[in-house]
Amino acid sequence: MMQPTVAIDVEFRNVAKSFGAVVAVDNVNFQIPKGSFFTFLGPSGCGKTSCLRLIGGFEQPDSGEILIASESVAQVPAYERHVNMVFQHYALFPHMHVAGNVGYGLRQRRPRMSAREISKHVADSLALVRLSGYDGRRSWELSGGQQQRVALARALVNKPTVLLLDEPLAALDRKLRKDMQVELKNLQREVGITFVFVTHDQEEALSMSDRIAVMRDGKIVQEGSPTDLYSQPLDRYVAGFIGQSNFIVGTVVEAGDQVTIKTERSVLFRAPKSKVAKSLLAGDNAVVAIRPERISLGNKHEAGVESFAGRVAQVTFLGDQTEFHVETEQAGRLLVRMSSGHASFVSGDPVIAYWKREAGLALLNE
Amino acid sequence: MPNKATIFLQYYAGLIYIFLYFPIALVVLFSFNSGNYSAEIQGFSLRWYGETWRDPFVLEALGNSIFIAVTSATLSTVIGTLAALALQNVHGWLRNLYDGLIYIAIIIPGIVIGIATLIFFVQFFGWLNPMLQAQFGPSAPRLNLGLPTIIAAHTLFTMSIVIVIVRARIAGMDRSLIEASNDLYATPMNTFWQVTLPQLFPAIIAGFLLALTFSFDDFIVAFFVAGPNTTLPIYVFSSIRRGVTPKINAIATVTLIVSLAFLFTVQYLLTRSSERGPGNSGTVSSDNQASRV
Repeated sequence: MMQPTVAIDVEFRNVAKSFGAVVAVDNVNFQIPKGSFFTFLGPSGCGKTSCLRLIGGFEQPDSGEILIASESVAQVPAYERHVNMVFQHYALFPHMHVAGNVGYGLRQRRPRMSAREISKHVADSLALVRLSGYDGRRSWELSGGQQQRVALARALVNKPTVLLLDEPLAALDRKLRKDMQVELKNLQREVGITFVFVTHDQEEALSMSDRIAVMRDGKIVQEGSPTDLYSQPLDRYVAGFIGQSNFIVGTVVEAGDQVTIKTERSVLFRAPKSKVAKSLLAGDNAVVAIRPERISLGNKHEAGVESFAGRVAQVTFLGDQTEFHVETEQAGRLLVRMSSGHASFVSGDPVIAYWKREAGLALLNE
Repeated sequence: MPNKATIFLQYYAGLIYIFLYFPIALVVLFSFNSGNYSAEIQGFSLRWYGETWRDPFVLEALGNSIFIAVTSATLSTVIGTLAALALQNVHGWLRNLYDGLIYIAIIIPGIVIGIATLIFFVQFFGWLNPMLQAQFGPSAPRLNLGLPTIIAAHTLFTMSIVIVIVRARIAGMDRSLIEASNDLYATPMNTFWQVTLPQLFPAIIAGFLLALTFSFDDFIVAFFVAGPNTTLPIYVFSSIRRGVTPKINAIATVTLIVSLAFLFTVQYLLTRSSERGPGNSGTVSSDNQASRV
């Protein structure tokens, strides 16, 4: 639970929104602490963008309450909300040059801001996104990354309470996306504004966010810090969506702190139960999630670890790491990721895949 | 190697173009004829352009035509643009009905519009004039066919063209630009002036120029509702009955050049605005745009 000393910038209370028969946001509750980098993560159509548009005021909730800086915004139109958005395709005004775009929000202020003050703020804002000197350019003369930064400057110049970012990196190529991830995070620390970010890219979410809300079918499945979500996923969906996981399906034979599971091939092995998910009972269908980097390959069975014998089916060299697909008799195909220096197996080699018991996580298989 | 069918089609296409443009080329050619008759070329001269320019009847007709074209194009641009914007907020079957009616208005033959508007004006004035007389006595103005009725009729049929052009532009406009403006504290009214209108501007100008051209060139509708007034096409038509003089050729050539100039401007505005249109600004891939910097 939130500590009472932390101010909340955005809060949803039982918010629901449907478009015709499609439920986009299904009774959602969350709080976004001031100054944090908060991410909605989920596949397309999970309701993450709808949440963002509800905060921005582009959609109105069917029911429930939205609070921005602790005040209800039920009757407040988008143009009166002190919230700014970076649109997915930037939505730069093509009939204005860069400075005109960035100064747009300031020019709407009443009483009017002097032209000198506006151009000073615009210059500061462009300097913040490292685009000084681009004032006179047109948006179509800029690269995707530059357009992106103009859109950021145009939003940040207004010093909003909350900055909304709707998959702003999706249109950039991979290298640029990586650079912008770092840049966005630094920028957020620098300006101290609450960022609400929407993405379907789990890597992006993990690397930038303070908190992540994983969404599915209009609901928040799990919310927490990136490390929480990675180490203690609530269910199979989150475990599969945040990072990669191997899933070994079976039935619970004996429940406790450690759960004993019988696989479909009637092999017994043990894994710790989840600290956050529903507890397992004997007879339940269970799934054990194991991260590929927590599994090692060896030549013989060792004591004190869970291990399955198998054969290397495929080897993928990734540079610093190497991925092995291991076909095991008892647990199906396992994905194993090891440092390249430690692994010299080739396709067809018989191997033992093993992991420390704590590396597994037993979850209910729904 | 091109086969016989291909060669035949190439000649066929060429013949079609000759068929289309040969008469027009003749008109232009004969307008530079120095002789008195259109039938034979006697030498190159700008004589008939000069004579046309000095003819008070031509100038009067030209003045009327320009006045009618500018006024009706302005009216139809304002009304048509507002209608196109309003239609954005109409949905469902009513919208389909309106859309259909606009296209029907475009394809209705000029002669039908001419007759319909003539009957309307005659009926309307026949009803209005006695009322005015009764109200203000014998000194009351008597409304009759004239320039205003031509302007009204022209506005009627050029308006739908403006609506169609502006509608297409609105449909192609990036909705997120409006949202971005909203997001950046602009009230709906300010958004309209600062984003929507500038985005529609090329289409509005294009619609205006097309309306101008259509009105300027129109003979049929104007002929019905002109009353005692002449426009340039009406003047040309009535003088042709006395034989085609090189003067007519000169008038036709000037009209042709002005109309073509407008049409090329329209084409330029519409293609340029769609190339640099709002929809393209963000969606072009980053590598593609980077190479342009």
